[in-house]
Amino acid sequence: MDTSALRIGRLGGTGAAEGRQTGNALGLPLELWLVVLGYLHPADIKSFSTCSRRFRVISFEILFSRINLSPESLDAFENGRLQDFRKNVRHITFAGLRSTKLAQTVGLARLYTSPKTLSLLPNNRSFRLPFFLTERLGANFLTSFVYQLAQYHKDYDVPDTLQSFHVEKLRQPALESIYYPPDLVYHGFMAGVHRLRARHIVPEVGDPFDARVLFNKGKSRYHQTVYPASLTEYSIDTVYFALRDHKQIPLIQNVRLDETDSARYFDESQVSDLELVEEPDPAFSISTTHPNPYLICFSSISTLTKLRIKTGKFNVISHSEQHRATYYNVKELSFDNETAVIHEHLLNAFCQRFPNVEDLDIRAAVIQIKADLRREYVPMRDLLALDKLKKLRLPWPRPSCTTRHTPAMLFYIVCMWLEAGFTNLEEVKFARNEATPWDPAPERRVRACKVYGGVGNRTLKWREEGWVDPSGGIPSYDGPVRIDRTWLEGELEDIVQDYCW
Amino acid sequence: MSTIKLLSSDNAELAVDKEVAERSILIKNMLEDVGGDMSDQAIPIPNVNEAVLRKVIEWCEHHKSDPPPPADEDSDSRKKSTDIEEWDQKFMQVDQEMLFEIILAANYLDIKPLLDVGCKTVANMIKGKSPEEIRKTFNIQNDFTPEEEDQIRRENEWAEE
Repeated sequence: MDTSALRIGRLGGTGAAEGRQTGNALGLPLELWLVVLGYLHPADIKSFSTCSRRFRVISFEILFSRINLSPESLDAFENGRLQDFRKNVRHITFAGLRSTKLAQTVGLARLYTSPKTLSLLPNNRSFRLPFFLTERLGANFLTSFVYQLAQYHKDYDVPDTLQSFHVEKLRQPALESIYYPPDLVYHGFMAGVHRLRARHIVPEVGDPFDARVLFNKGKSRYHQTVYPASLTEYSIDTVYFALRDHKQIPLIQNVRLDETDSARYFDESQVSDLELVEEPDPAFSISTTHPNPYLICFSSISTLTKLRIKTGKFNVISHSEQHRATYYNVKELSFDNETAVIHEHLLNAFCQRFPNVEDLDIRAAVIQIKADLRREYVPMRDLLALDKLKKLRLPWPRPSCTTRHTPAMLFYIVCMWLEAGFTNLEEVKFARNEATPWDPAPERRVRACKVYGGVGNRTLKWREEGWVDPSGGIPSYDGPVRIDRTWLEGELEDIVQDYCW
Repeated sequence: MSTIKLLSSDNAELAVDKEVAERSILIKNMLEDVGGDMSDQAIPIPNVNEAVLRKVIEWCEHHKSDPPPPADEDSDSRKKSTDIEEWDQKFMQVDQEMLFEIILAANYLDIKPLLDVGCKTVANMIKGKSPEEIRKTFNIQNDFTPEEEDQIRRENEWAEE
């Protein structure tokens, strides 16, 4: 926060004119209030800003450092009250791209990515892009969006200083009309709706958010976008994406893409013959294949420290060794795909490509663990290579025919790791999600368990299935309830008896 | 160990160990500038009264052997934690007037760790509260007109949480 050049907003009021009046909240000068606000969550800053005129003036410096961009807020930055605060904006969330009305969404996207808008907020370092479109349109849309952003940096010779980029595909459309069950949305109904609308809007929009581009059924439309290049935080959803260092020289000369190897690395400058294989009817058929175009995301090995992967369609496992970049600086890695099954080779790939990770968070339905406790715990041999690991979260292991993993058993497994050399490990959490198809410990109905590491201080906590009334009473059927989030602790011997071995 | 004297705004003279007083960058620099011995002459601290100065010295005494704070920390405000160590928490259990005086004094005397503890304490007084509760805490009036409140509601939607 640059406090050397403080500007006060135009709210008027009692603000700066006050004399030194110590001993109460109003006596604190602006720069000290800014230190206080620096410790607060944006939601708290918002509450603070609605207390009084003076507090509002104080909070303006910080309040709009993270903004929701919408036509209204854009106007305020362009012509209105927020003109003075343009340079304070460090984070932009693109709002309104969740509409089921395609023309409107595309129009907003064009507005947001126009050079005029982007140049208005020159100090931005972070983008969040939540949107809802069907699978097929979504990838096209996202690619266009990123392409536009990259193009701005290229055309206007603006250095790419973006540090954080988050793409979120919303799971549910904004409820403007009727709620459609998700499976209907995916397998037909919404696809039909979009097709109708898409046809309808064709004349209204131009390149590159051209409907003809968005709905391109033709060949060889993919974007390879060298953007953003120097991220430290990254999370991406929706499209295929392949991580690679932007300095690396690609080797592939001929690429033929189809749905099975579409995520293979390639680079436009090196590719002499590119063909994207079409599906029989790429328009809007009900299909499980993934849409073109492809987005190849470049990111620098030297800057990336935090990576979150939400799409199942990503390429961390490269089959060809020469393209397997190692991200030495990634400290936080999360894989979040609630229906995925984590196989050994994926775990292996994570371990090889992110060897220095400290916080590994894998959320998936299942983790396949082949060996049971009595033999060696096979996937963990790979995990053991991660000697910097502090925090680990894994899905509940799948039971084998002889073993069901009880909390006590998992506790012993973690103890074994600690003895095997995971010296930095502080916390391991096993959790099952809704998609986990079995009950890990039926008699206790355990939802999650956590093991705290550390020498001589290992403890096990667990959380049981259940609901509680937020006000503390017994939950009723029609009253408000929330999931019980209490961590329980108990005599370990008590639990060990569950599992005789 | 040499002792120096500080003169508060209400003309109270307080004797302090030099090492303790040098937690204040202002005093430290001042002593360096003077170069010589200040033991016979009190350093005037015109912005801080005796009660507050005593409190500040108490803090400096307790923290005299702390390592110097890291030069330039990450400016990303979202990563900052408001955790305060136990002794400091107790130390900050004073009335609001004193709390704000301590913050102002820490700022004036340039004692960054104390300033941080003070600001964190204020931040904790705001955390998780509704606007009405915050007003109550700091005893301030809602001076917005209904039109302004409307505008605020609109504008706040532009700020991301």
